[in-house]
Amino acid sequence: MRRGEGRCSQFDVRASGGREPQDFACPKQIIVIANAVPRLFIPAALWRARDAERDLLLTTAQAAGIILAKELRLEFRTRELLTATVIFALVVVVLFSFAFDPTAAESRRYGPGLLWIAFLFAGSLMLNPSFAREQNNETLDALRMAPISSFAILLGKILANFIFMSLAELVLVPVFAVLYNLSLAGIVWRLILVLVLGTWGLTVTGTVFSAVSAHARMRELLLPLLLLPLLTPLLIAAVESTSALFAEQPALDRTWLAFLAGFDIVFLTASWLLCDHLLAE
Amino acid sequence: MKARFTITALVALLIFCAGYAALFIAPDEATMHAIQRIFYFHVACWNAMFCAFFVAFYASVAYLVTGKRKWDALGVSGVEVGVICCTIGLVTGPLWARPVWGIWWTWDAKLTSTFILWLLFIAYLLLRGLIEDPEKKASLSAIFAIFASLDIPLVYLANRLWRTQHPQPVIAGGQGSGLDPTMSKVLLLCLFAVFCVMLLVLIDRYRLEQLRNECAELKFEIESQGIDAFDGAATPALQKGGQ
Repeated sequence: MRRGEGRCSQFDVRASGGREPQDFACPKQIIVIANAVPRLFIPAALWRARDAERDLLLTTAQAAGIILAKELRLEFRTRELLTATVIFALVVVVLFSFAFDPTAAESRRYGPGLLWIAFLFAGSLMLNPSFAREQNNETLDALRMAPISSFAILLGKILANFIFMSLAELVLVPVFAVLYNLSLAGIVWRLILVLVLGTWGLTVTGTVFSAVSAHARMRELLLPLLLLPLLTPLLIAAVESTSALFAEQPALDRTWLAFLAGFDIVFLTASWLLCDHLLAE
Repeated sequence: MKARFTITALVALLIFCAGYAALFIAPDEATMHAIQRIFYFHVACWNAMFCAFFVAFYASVAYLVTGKRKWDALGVSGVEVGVICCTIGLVTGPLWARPVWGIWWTWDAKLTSTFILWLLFIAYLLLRGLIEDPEKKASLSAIFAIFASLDIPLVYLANRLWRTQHPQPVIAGGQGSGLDPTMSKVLLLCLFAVFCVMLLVLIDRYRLEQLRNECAELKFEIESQGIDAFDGAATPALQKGGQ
């Protein structure tokens, strides 16, 4: 490691991600938004008191915003992860139609399950590089040296993965609806709610386990093995609430939505509590 | 050594008594007859499994809080013994279900959650095998054990909301439930006996893990000394070769 790389400045956090900060337009806005968020929760007096130390210690939201920007910049330079994820999920969807040859009624019945299986499989493959690619140049050590909490690193990565997964779903859901003759008209917003809750749970646990499996041999195989059994409650809840939307009379199943939200909260809290151990050297 | 032998002999005697009581002393069940006697060990295994996994969960939290290696050793022992109890439970369950329900397996809440539990802790053991660095192995597997333990109530709840076929609690399930007094005595004996076996294996496994850790540490020490000695001898020769 070169001299001065452990210096405590905002620049180091950025430098570990890519070459030049200005080749991607998004980061500045994200940092501005991230800056504003803590103000909503922290009383003004306390906020002013913290002003002095803010130069030294970035707030979690700011730091997470920077990590998020780095992840986005890294991904949008190549877009290979996103492309591979979409194609993989598409392959699963197409193979399913050969394996079962469903009629219209059957696709309404099995469609939601298939859709979520495709998302879960694609997610468990897509989340793997999240921490694994920090290992090549040991950039995770550089991130750890930055004066930010480890939850900020994790949160930045979770948000980035959430955005990638959502973009993949944005492409996949319409294609899926066309291939299986399902109508999305009238249920779009409710479907987005279900997708957001399900995807958030998937990315939170997936990012945590990507950090776990990054240290193991055979990590590509290990991550699905750790993640998929853990996600069974999420799968059941997401499939049930999606089926309720694809039924003859579309309805929003509140029990399963509450369950999904509960799953998200439990595992986000657990990640927050355990992230120091997760990213410790 | 002598004390351990005595304790092992006592536990063996206890489990023999429990087996005898379950097979010959307990009264015949009204509808299921002899096959129902598997119940005494089926239930006892689940009880032992929950205790073992609870030990593993507690030890994992304790490891992350204190950072002491003995908690990690206890955690892995708990999981291994729990997985064995879980496997026995998963085998005896279908054996009992086939004549009584007419099916080997059904995707009901309790069965499904236990199956997921089993898969999760098998994954835990795999994870441990695939991480080289002992510190990382201990902390990451503790994190996984905590996540898995948090997941189990959710798996159960999800499946409960979804569908269920396993009998409702018989022993403390409100009106009309309850066991014949002899049956409940035999059940208590079996619960205690299987619990003792579990505890004995758990303690032995814990000792073994401690010895393994000690062995690895000593090996590491010897090796690092050996490399130092080798380096001292090898450096001049290498320099010569380089010139």
